Amino acid sequence: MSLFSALNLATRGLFASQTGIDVTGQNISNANTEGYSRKKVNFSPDSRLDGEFGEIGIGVEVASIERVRNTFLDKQIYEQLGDMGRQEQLDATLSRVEDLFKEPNDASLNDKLGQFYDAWQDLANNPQELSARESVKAATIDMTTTFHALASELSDYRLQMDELLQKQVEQINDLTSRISSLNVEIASAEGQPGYNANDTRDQRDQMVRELSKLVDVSAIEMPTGQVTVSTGGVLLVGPGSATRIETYGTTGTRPDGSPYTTLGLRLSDGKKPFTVKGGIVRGIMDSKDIVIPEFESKLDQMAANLVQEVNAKHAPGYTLNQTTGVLFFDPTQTTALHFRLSDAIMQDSKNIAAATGGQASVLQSVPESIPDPATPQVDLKLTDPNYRSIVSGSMQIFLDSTGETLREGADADYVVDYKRGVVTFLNYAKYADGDGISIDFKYEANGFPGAGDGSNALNIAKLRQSATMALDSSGNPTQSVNDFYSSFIGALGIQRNQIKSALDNKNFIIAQLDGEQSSLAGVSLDEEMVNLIKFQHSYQASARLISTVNQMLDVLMNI
Amino acid sequence: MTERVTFTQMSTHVQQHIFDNYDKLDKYQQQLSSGRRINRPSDDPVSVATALQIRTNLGQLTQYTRNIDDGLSYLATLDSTFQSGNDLFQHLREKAIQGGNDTLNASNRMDIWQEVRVVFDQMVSLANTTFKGEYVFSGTRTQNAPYEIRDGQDLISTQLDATTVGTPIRLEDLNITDAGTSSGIPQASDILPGTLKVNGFTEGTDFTVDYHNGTITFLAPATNALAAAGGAGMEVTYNWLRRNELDIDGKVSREVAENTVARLNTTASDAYGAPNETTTWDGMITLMEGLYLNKGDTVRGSVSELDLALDRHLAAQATNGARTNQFDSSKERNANSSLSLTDLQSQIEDVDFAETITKMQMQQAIYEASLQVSARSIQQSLLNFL
Repeated sequence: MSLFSALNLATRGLFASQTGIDVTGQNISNANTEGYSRKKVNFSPDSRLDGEFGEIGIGVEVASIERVRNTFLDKQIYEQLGDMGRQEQLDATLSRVEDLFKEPNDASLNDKLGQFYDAWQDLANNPQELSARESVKAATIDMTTTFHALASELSDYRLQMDELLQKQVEQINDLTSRISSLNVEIASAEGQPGYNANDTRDQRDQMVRELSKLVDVSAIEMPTGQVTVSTGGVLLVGPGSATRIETYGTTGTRPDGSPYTTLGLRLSDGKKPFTVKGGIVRGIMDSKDIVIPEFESKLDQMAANLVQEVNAKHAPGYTLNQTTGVLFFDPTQTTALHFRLSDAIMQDSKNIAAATGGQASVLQSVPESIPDPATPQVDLKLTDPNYRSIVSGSMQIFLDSTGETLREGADADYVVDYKRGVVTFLNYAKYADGDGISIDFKYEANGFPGAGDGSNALNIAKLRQSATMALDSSGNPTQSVNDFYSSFIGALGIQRNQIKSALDNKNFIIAQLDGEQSSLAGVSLDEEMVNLIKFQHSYQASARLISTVNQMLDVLMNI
Repeated sequence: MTERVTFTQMSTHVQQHIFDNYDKLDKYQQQLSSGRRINRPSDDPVSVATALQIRTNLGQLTQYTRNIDDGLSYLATLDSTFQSGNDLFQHLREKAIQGGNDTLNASNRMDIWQEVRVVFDQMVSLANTTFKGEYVFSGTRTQNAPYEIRDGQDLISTQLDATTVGTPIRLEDLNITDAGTSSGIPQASDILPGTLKVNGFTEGTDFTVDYHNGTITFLAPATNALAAAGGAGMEVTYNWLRRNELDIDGKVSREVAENTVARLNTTASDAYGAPNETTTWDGMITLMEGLYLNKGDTVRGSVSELDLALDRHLAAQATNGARTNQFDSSKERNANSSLSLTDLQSQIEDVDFAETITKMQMQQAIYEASLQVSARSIQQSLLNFL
């Protein structure tokens, strides 16, 4: 035992305190660094065996510098972040969809639909007015344009999602390659015993955390200190290497059985496809494959229903041009994106069938007998008030006795007043009063009833209240187009609310877990100050030891 | 040893709570500045669905009210037409009673005939009343007048001999052609007594006329005169009342409430009689015939026909009045529903200002408190005391 060994011991004390101060300094300066875990110096006493006393202390040794962190908590956070990423994306999507529909608002689709039916009501009031007809046209164009705008904005938004997905995939590739290279650094650094690659681990864990928000990952640490990251059954980061992934065009099947093309994920090498269950990537895929298409399909259903129902009511009606069978909407375009007025209506608003009509002509066979020559007329209206407006040239009269067909004409057997439905018999040489005859003819059952008939416009306006959509189990429609729309807007709100509250819930859980982690791994400045003072004091004490030994040596030297 | 609380932890918490409180404050602020409780579906999904339905219903009610207002002015037009018609009927009845008096001579009756002839025209023009340029008594054929007084003309080329004298000949109106009849020329009926002229012949002596059915019957004395004409044919000119051959009995209705379509129009048949009934015109023609031909019995007989026509006319007016009532009460009902729906809509969509301002102030206080507390606690550090 010599004074020199005491000097040596004090020097090691100084070194140890210095290391302590260094670590404290590192902690303080990284107090606000994201993902940083506080570091702790582990000291251990050093000793040697002495012949006389057995073990004797020769100072302190810095055994290790380790980071204080609960890696199990990290894994839980990764898992929650995956769910949160998905919900965050869905929330953003739904919020965008809400913005697109702008309900409840005065310029929204609901109002346009209302205006469409109002215009039909106005036409029903003034069927002969061209201005009312033009309003129906204008209101319809306004409504279809709103449909077109909504449908195209939805599909644009859906297509933008593809781009977003590509970007996220690039981000994933970037993160996995960085994780992989940090893995290599950690493994080589920790090859030496007692050596911890603390800060590199912090960096890597932070990246795994970022990655877990993009896709659901499971991260497993290997004995070398490297971490393997896998998702959806494929290894993104293996020992020593990262696997790149890419998107590819594929087809999927919707819940209703309809196929669609979309982007899937696969490994760049080997092209093995895989699916992910969480993360922003899942959120994007759900948004573009399920959520947005659902709204697109709802709009399409409404458009197709409008085309079908309005046309079905419009076609049998009579136009101001006295024609029938005109379609209001172009029957070949039934999607929300393309449905439009038929060319006939576009060209001439008189072609709007405001008047009710039915079958153009109905064949009738009426048994009659030849009337008294003094009043040689048979008035068909007396048989049935509808038997007027006989179709010109459609009448045939047969004599019951011989089956002979009588001839029409002023110089022949009879003449017909087609408008009034009156037959006048002329040739009494051929037949006698009381002879049985049968009169066959066609009449306009519900021909053009005049410009003042708006009852068909009213029929169409009444579609507002009639259930035409959303078939129940026995195939009966349960909702009108308006009801269908308001219930799906309600459903949109509910869907968003559900996602929002799930998201709030996730955020809370993550905050809790983060809190727990930062309670453990976070830097407490107060604590660091205390440590600083502690190490300062131990440094001062070690220095004092040196100066004391120095004084002692001085005394000794001056003897 | 208590749990370690670190600076990061605390600042995260502080931030989170400040964000939360600010978010709530923002929500109230948004509601107050927009005046609306619901700005997007997720604000209150169930209410939004209801709000949309209310909007639809309100729009519908507004439309019904428009339909009703339009219908009411139509009904008012009809009512004033009926009112004028009633006056004319009164006038006609007086003339019929006056003319039935056998103390009058032919010339007195001719004077009355003149008056009735004018009334006839007035009645026709009432039957051709228009509303916004549309004929009201034409059913759905609003662009066709229901009645028209035509100048008829016929050329009778029939040789008069023992077999044809006394046989009624139907009068045709050669001045028009009708595409719908096979002969192309319509037959006249409802001929106005006193307007029929056959050149060179005298009514009563040479021929008689069935004014209602539109036939002329030559009598024996005409034969000689006809022979004198050399078989060139006899020109007959007359005025007749032509009822539109189209179906003018169509119904015009207005939707006044959900699933309630109310009939609006009165047809010519309702007001003046269908062709197979004794019409207003029949009554007037009988009256004019009696006056023109100086037949007291016929004049007296027209009174009952006119009374029948007046009853029909009054019934039509009463129906019209009942319709006006229906429209009025529907309007009132719509106004009430509209009021309560607007109220409901406001309850659902609009902000209760008093409540929301109170809530906002509360939230503001909470927010300020959280800021203050955070400001204090976050500043604290051991460093302050070293």
